[in-house]
This record gives sequence, C-alpha cells and structure tokens, in this order.
Amino acid sequence: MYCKTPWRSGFNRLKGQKAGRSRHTIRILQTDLHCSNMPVYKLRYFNNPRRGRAELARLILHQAGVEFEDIRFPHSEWPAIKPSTPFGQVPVLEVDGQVLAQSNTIARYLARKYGLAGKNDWEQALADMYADNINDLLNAAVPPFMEKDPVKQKEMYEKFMAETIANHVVLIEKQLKKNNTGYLVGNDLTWADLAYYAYFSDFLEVKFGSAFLKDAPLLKALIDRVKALPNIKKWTEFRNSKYPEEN
Amino acid sequence: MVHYKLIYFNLRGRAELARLVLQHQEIVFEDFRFEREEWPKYKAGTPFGQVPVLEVDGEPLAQSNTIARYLARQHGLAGQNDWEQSQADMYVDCIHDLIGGTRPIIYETDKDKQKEMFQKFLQDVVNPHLQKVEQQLIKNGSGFLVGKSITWADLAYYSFFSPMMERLGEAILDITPHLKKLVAHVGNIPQIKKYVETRPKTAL
Repeated sequence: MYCKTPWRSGFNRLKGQKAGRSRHTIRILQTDLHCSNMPVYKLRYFNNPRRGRAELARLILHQAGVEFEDIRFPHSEWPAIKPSTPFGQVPVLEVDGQVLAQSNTIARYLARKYGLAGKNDWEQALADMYADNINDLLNAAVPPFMEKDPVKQKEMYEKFMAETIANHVVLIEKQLKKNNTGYLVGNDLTWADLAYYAYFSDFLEVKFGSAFLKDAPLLKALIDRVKALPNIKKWTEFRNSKYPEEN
Repeated sequence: MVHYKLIYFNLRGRAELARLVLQHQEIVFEDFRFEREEWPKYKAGTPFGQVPVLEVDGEPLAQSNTIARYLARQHGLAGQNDWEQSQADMYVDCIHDLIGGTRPIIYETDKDKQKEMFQKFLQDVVNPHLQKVEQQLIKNGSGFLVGKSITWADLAYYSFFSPMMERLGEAILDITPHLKKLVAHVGNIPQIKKYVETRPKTAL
C-alpha cells in the first residue's frame, strides 16, 4: 500500500522550516503516521537535460502517484556529487538512504514495486525487452545529437529517422497488432508503454512531428493513450511549464 | 519441462551471459548457433531484427539482458529479494555499458588507432569503473557483488573480464584484488570451467 499525497506542494514548502504547531505541521504528522511504511525516495539527475535518462523513473512515479524528491542539480555541482554515486553516473535513486544506479534498473525497481511491471514473470520479461529496445534507441540518438556541424547533424538525423526509427516502428506495429490489447504487454499499462511514450512522443514527435507515425496507427494510439492518462497529463503540463527547455 | 532455444551467431558476444546462467544452473537448452553469412535467413524471424532471441516453448523473447535476467529469475540466480535483484540488474547494466563502449573499438579498421582507442577506453572508462566496483565488493563483504551468494551479476563480470585477462594478461585486474578473486572463483566453478573448456573457440 502506498500513500496518495495531495498535500505534496504544502509539504515541500515546509521542508527546512522549524517544527511548529501550525495546521500544516499537524497535517504532516498525521500523514507521517499514515505513511510510516512509505520509503523516502530521492531521484538525483542533472537539471539539463530536463528529461534525459531520469524521465522514465519520473513517469512511473507520477503515474503510480508516489511521492518522491525530484532533485535536479546544475552541471557545476557535478564534480562534487559524482564521487558519492556508485559508478560516477546519474540518475541515482535513494531508497531510505540506500542507493540504486542505472536508469533502467531504477525504472524497473519502481515499476515492479508499484504494479507497472507486468502481471507474471513472462510479462515482466516482455516489458524488460521493450524497455531495452528504448535504451538502444536512446543510445542510437546520441551520435547525431552530439554532432556539432549543423549540416552533418541534419543529415545524420534524417538517416536516423529514415532507417533506425522507421524500421523499428514497423516491427513495433506488428507486435502491437499481435498483442491486440492496445498495450505492449498483456492487457494493461506497463512501464514499457511509458518508455515508448517518452521516446516516441515526448522526444521524437516533439522534435520531428508525427509524420513518422503515419503508417503506425496502433503505436500512435498507444502514445496518445499514455499522453492522456490523468497523472501523466498533469505531470507533463507541470514539467513543461516549470523546467527550462533542453539544448 | 520447458524447452529453451537460444538463437545467436556462433560467437560468445551478447548471448554468452545467458549461456553462462544456463550452464551454471545445469539447465538443458538448445544452443542454436549460425554463421554470419546465414544471418539474413534468420533475421526476419526475430521480433526486432536482432539476436540473441530466446524461444521459451516456442515463444520468442529478445534483448540479451532481458533473456539472461529471465533465466536468472526462473532458475535462482537473480538475487534473494527485490533489492538484491535490482542490485544485480544494476551491475549487469554496467557491463552492458562497457560492452557498448568496446563496439567503436572493435569496428575501427586502422590498427594503430584501434590500439590507441582501446588504451583510452581502459584508462578513462574501465579502470575508474573497476575501482568503484572494488569499493562495492569490499563494502558488500561476501566476495560476491550482491548479497551472500553468486548471482548473474558475478557471471556478467566474469564474462566480460575473463576474456580480457586472457588477451591482455591477468595483471589488468591487479588494481582490484577482490574482483580478480571473484573472476577466478567463477572460472573455477566446475560446470563453468567445463563449459569454457568445451565451448566453441570464437574471436568474440
């Protein structure tokens, strides 16, 4: 069982304030008692990119309605933070002070804990498989992203969309048709669907438009379905207004 | 009994971790290997145009780490609880990143440049990682990466570093005596030792 935390913003304002007999403090104490078995989660990542390798974990936590500290630090602080991470990388997730590294491991841990991983071992493996696909696609986007020459970069992105992405979209559409539930795995939402939404909609659709989805109605329907989930919609609207644009 | 068919090139490569998990737990499986020239014949039958693929009673599962994790979970090598399982996942992801780091080096055709790239990779990526892992091993205190007994994470480190030691000499792990001891320990497990002695000898 986990706590819904509608008082989240009030709680955040009171962090660092002295304990007092205010109405807010009393509400926190009541909620602390109620939520005393709830782990304290701290997710640490750069402030830029604003989504990057931490976004999947954030989507899972927001979809599940789980309270967490969404820590974003400037790159100037990284040399001081780096030695405290298990492998000199972020994101890291602190769970009651213990640290987990590696973005997909963090996402899988949270997905399993909050019912977003799949209903049995086989479904969990299928969800893992789709998340691994997205990891490969994230890595494949790095060379064009890093290219400094704008003419060469445009060329690399065009090739990337026409080959890497187009090929994958055909294969995913086939899997969605085969599964025939509207979701990637089983008949319900898993972190696999969130991972595909984050990549294909939040990244590719925003950057390149929806043309690449014209022959993939099932994939388009899936990412639209995820986009419209109340907790996802609320989070993305908040995020897009609060955090600065990425480079 | 479930029928496993592991489909991959006749290489260690991305299938070896799954093979080590199965061999360690002494699970019977079909180790289906094909030569590079035959790949076009099999590619269309895979879910995402890639191998390895594990068929479990005919149902396909793709992605090397997903396959190895599924087998590790089914056969008691994944960790004793959710936290340990995640710790093991984390270490295997680190090895996955290291394997990814070797790809540009393997594909480099200029031998001098390749040597330089590899040295830089060892110095800038591998050695710092080794030092972090050594710290974690000492902190964990059991000799294993996760918990008190062997997991697929230990097999992943063995799978990556043992061939490297064979190629470059055992001294590359002298800076990390605990990891060196762990790799040696895994290599000496009877079913692993026997498998390594009898498996096809391939470059990768």
